[in-house]
Amino acid sequence: MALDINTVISSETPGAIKLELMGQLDSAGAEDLERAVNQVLEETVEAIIFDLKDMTFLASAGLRIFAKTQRAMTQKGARTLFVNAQPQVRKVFDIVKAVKLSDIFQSYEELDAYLEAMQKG
Amino acid sequence: MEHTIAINPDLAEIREVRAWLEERLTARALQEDLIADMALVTEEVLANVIDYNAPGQGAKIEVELRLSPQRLELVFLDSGIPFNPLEEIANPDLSADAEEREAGGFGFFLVRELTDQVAYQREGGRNRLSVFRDLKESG
Repeated sequence: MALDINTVISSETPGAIKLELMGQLDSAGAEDLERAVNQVLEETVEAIIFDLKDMTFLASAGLRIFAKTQRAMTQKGARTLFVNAQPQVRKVFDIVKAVKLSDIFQSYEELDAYLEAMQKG
Repeated sequence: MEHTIAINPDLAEIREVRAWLEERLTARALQEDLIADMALVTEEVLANVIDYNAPGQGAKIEVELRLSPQRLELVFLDSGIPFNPLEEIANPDLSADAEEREAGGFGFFLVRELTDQVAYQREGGRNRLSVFRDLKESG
């Protein structure tokens, strides 16, 4: 299965665009992700949230896109957050450390608590 | 036990090799995380060969899987220009700030981290990269 990408704009996460990634983010699929991200980068958003709940495979080509996205968003003063990584995918993040590990959240509960604190703060 | 598969130098064909590998390792009842690790190693090695080594048009890349009770070996053979990733790909600087680091080298870094041994040989006009993973601890 290749990579499927859903772009979600929700009132539950104001100012953020969520990208749900489903399937395998491998070397061949990284281009699809880059295209989707580039569209989001044209918008004015405070955060991109990558939901990885249904992502079963992550290769370094995908990590490169994540790292590039985080760089571009940081330059705009915006955040790049990751949630729901499966164990094997989390392992790849942990080994390579291409993105800030503090921007990776285990669950939506954890992410919501963080976003709430950020809005108050 | 030995198995072989050959693909064209095309990133989209790597999925076939991963599926081929996963099927054989699952049949041997190896642990899921080990199978996932080796699928990732396969992805990264083949992507490197295709991206940097540009094998001639129509040149196939061969992958061999060798399994013994103690050890798993994957051999990647391609007829591109001589290319030793052990010498030519530097490890990324993981100590630097995540946003300032060069993005290169992630793939081969994963290969080194997820295997117990990596060996390169130029042999009969082909690059031969072997990766090994011990099976004793993981059953």
